[in-house]
Amino acid sequence: MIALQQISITTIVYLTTIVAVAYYATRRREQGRSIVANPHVYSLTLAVYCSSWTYYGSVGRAATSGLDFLTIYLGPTLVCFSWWFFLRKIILISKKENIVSIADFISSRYGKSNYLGMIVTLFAVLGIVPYIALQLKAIAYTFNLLGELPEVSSSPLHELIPQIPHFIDTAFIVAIFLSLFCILFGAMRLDSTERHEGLMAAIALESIVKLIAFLAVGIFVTYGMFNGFTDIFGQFTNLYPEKEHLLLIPSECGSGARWFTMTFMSMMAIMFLPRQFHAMVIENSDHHHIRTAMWAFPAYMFLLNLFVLPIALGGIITFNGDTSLADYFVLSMPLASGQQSLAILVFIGGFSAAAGMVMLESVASSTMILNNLAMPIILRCNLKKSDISSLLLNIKRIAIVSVIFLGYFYYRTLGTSEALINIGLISFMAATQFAPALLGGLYWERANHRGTAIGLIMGFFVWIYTLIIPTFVDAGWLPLSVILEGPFGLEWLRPTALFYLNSLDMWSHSLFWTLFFNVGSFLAFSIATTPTSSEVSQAQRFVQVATWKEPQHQHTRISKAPTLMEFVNLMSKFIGEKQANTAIASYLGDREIDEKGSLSEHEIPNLKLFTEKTLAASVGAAAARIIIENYLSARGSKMEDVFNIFGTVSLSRKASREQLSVLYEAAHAVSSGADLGSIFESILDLLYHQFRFDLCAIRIYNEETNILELRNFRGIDTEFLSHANREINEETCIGTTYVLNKVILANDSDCIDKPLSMEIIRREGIKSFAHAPITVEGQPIGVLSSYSRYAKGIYTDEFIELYKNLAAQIGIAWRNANQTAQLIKASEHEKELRIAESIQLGLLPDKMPQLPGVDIAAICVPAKQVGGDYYDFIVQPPNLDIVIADVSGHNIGAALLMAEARTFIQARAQQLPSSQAILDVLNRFMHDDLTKAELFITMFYLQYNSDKQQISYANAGHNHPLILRKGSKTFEELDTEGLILGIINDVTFEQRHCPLNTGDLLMLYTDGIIEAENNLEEMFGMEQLKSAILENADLSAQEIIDNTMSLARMFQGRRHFNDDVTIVVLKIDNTINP
Amino acid sequence: MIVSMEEHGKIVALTIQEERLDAHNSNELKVQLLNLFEEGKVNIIIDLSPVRFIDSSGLGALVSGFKNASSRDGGLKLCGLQTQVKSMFELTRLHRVFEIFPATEEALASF
Repeated sequence: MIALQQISITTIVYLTTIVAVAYYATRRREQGRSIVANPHVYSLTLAVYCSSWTYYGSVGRAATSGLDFLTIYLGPTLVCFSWWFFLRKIILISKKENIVSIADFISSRYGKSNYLGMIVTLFAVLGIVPYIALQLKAIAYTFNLLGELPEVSSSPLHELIPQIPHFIDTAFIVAIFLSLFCILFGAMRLDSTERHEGLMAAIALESIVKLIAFLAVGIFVTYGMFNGFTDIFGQFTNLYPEKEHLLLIPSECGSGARWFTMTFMSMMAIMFLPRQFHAMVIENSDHHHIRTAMWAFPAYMFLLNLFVLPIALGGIITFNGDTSLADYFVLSMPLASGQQSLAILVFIGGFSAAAGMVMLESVASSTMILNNLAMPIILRCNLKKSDISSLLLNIKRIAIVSVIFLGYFYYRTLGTSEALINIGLISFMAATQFAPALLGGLYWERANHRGTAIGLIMGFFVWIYTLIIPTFVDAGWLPLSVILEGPFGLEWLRPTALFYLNSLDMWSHSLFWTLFFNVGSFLAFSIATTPTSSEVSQAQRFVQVATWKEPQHQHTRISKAPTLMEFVNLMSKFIGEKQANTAIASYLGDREIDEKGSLSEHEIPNLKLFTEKTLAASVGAAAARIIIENYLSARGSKMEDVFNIFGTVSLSRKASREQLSVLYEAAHAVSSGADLGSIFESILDLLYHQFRFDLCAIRIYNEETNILELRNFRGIDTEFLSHANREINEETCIGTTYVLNKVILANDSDCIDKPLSMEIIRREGIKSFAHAPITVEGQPIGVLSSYSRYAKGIYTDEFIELYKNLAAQIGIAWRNANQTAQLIKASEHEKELRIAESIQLGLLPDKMPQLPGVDIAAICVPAKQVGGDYYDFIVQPPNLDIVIADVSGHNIGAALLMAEARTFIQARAQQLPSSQAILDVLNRFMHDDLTKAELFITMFYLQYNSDKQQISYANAGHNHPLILRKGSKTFEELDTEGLILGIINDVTFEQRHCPLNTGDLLMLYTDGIIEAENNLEEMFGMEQLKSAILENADLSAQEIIDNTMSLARMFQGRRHFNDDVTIVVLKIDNTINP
Repeated sequence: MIVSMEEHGKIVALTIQEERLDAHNSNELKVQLLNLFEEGKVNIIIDLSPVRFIDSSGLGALVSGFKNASSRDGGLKLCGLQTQVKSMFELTRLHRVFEIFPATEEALASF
């Protein structure tokens, strides 16, 4: 017997090593010298596939049922060759789309469908969590075996503290430790595409340890207990000739099917078990690592399997043919021969195998639970919190703990029953169900979300029916009759012989029927239903990834587009402010931005995509799409096509080549970027020459005159021209076309019933004609007309289709031209604002005055639209003048007036005797300019005399500065009689003075801070400003400003103020001597 | 912005039917007033009773109207100021410049 302390201490030392390695890897990553981004480490992390089920179970299986343990490794080995094109494609897509889990991948491929992600998550968690139970069982069982404790027993704690509750057993403690470790290295931050290097380093280390341990025990058994391979095999065949079948591939019917099934299932499992997908795809740092993994991983598995048979046969010999504990031969053989340290090494190896699997599985599952189950609910609840990233992180942590403990409860419930043993293969079968959705999605554009969802649901239903139900029967929870006679006596529904298919073993039977229903529904519904448009574009992005051309984003723009900062704020809400800023900084990189930090118009859609991708990395693609769409629609923006010629033009497939070429020419003209007039001319030319009309005309509605004015024409004589305009009514055919917004044509002009039109037609000798409305967003803006003087009956249905399309193109050209005009106008406005802002910022002092005994700080945060704040200091010891002002309006004019005021003050203040005089002279000086510009200025002028410790001040309608006296809790407000500048010439400004002693605090501010509004239209207000000062009164001037600003920002729930915010704080403090 | 208008002989009474008179809508008011002046309507009463909040641009629009009316020998008077709006006028001392009445009737009587 090995002392409990010895096992416990070894385990704890090992755990500490893992934590240290994980921590070291995290640090290295932070320093940019990753140890995990390495092809060999990558291959080792893939070996998380070999869990304790295979570590202990392979030998058990070899000892009881023979060679078929190999299939679990043959499958992955065989599938490795496909990785270079198949896995690489998945990785490339995942990196581009910021995919974070297999559920995310499938949901993302099928139009970022939310419910599909939910389905995959539910199935993954339900199907694979029991597998965790198996791992916990292996650790607990081997621990107890090693310490010779009774089975399912007490942990070492029980010996030390007997009174702890009974449910705290070894597995419980292991589960707690694993949860903590996963939270520490798997849920430190939210962005799952920032790979978990600490976790992966731990898993790679565990892979090395389990391989070394297994090789060690293998070499010990083969060469220590026996005399090499030949000796073991020789002894075995001599002693147990009846067990020879263990070394042969059975020839009886059906075994081929089982071998195939097992191999196929493990091929799928290595790709689609959530933990494998996570290790292979999400944690991959460079897809070139696959090249190494393709040989290194099979080599690893080969080494791990080399000694399976010797150990199994050696075990049978050592234990005299008893195979009831074959699963733990690996451990019991060294124990039986008294090799305690080897036994402990084996235990540590098994522990590694189990722990690696549990950790990765729980992290992968928790990511899926957070993104695909919790996020949709959170989004629906519409939380008003400004930053929910910490909430999301906590949900992820809770999910990790829940998944592990769900496994633990499975273990407690099923621990001793036989049902647990098959869980490994059952979860392999569950992973296999993801194959059609994933493989089909990668190579078949037509595959859509309906087919996938129904396929998955069918597959999993049959999976439950054919595998879980028999397991429950084995466990005695369901009557045996369900298997033998079928449920309710329906023989064709027997779970292991569905539809009378009774010639296969359980696994092949289940594989056949699950895939039959899964693939069948997937194909049938994908073919029968049409994919949504977002699905089509996702499908193309996934399927065509290798030959992927950058999508042409410049074809769309966002109306009422959010600004850069709004996108950043949106991101901060979900991933935290720091991460959002880092993300945006990396995005902006060398992109074209102007000095104000805004992006050009055509960058906004890219930014939207980027934001969506960044969010997708932490909340999943489906949720990210919903967030962005909701956000945009909430602010009334939508993506629109600037022009998407063939998108709006639908043409029947029967259209002739000439017609297509006309359309193409027209589209070419529209997209040429020429001015509107020449685009119209080109389209009319096409119509006139290609179809030999005698007259073609474009009339556009003029709002002012309320008539349809002839704008461009071909072949119209001057006589016609003089009365070509039409009124908006139904008396003429053209008017009717416009009013009814539909095509009006006459193949025989004798047959029309409008007298006015008839008259025109007679006069011009027109035989047939057609008018089509020109529309923008469905509303008519004009009419396209064509006339023939010689032919009747030329307007076929097909031609009318083409004709309508031409009219649509004219509409597009019209809209483009107008949008361009609006864009130019908007950008000119922006430019003006920016000039104004740079003038304003230029006016502000670039540093604080340094005066003994005075602690002074100031801030001015310009807003985008309104206000024009300004503050300044004039130092002429012992006087310090402080001026704070606000110009109404925020354009170049306002900025220039402010510059004028500043220049005046800087030049004249020294000569003028008092604050009062300065305001008076300034008012007279500025009055005319302000009146002309229809602006005014509010200003507070204050002089502090440090010798007298006194202030004197005058006010021109500005917000009252506050004084907080030393030790007082109430504020004094400074105000004097006067008037805002620029209203009337003769204003009597009053001047007052008062002492300002050591310890007193003075704050000057503009209305921006007290008028900061939150979503409920409540204002920050004087009271909150005062309490902010009171709270921070003991801090330095700069800290008072900083804390006040962050209080105001918190209050309004966003960073940006609607109006300029300016604060100046002055503290009289004799201890400060700069 | 929504402004309702009533004419009482030579006097035009406007009511700002908005809760806020700020940078977003003050320019419209400015333009509307200019249109009235061009039509020769220079005696104006502005009822601000629905207005809860006014900022410096709102004041600017009123000041501009006031100056234009005065230069055309007319007048622009205000009525129905809510507390917060009133305090804004007091802060800027514009209540010394504008004639302010409790309601339209009093303002009408003063012309």
